[in-house]
Amino acid sequence: MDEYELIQSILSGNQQDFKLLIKKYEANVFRTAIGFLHNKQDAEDITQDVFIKVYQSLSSFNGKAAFSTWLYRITVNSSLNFLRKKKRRGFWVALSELIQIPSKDKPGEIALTEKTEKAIIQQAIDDLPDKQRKAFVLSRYEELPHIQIAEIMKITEGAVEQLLHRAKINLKKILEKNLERP
Amino acid sequence: MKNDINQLIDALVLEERNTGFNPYISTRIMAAVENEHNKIVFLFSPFWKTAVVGLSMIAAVFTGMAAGNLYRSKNVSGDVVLMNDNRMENFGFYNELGNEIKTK
Repeated sequence: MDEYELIQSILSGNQQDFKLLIKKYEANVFRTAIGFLHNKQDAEDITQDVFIKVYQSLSSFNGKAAFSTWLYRITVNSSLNFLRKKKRRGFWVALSELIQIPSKDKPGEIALTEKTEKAIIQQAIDDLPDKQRKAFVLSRYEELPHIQIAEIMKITEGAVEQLLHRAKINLKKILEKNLERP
Repeated sequence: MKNDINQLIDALVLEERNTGFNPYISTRIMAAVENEHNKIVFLFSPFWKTAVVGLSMIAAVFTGMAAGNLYRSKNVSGDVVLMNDNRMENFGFYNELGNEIKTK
């Protein structure tokens, strides 16, 4: 059964066929999500959310683009939305902690000493502008060809190359500053 | 230093790429999907269909009653109510015939 037939079968009510679709793409969705979130648990939650969204809106998939392109778009958007919500939640948690327990230490200093190299690189990826980050994750984590990244992001192939080039430069700049050794 | 940074990035990407995920994730997703599906089925169950039809009928009856009450609330004088309209047509008959045939 090819992909189109599989989708038609799911739409006609064969819910169990959806499991075949999950099995085919779960690794891709998980890898993309972890590229944005850097956390296994969060990436698994996003993988679940993405497939539920896919199931609910499968009838609106018109087949103009490849199914994988559509799936990657949903994954990228879900991951970025999750990060935005987490950031907002983090702000309120930090604010409430600040109000409740006045700390004598300088939080910036603690954070810097506790940060490992890995965390610094993750932060550097997170600090990239959204478009550069999307292109970077799809290219490095999923190893997708530029043409498919262009289709997912609805931009030209040349624009993808530019985004990746700028992402590389920005990452180097951030890391050279933050990973300075004595 | 530059090569060092590239190596660090490559190492992180490789490590995260190779992170294993829950092998039962598809089962977990299917359970969640079925749960969502059941919610939708419950919403369109015969019970809710009947309930919606019943409530619509009750709403229609009450709307009709309310409309009727609005009409009745207008003041109608007793004279008009008691007026015998059996002969009302005759007024029209005389009014429209302004040039009645004069009889000698």
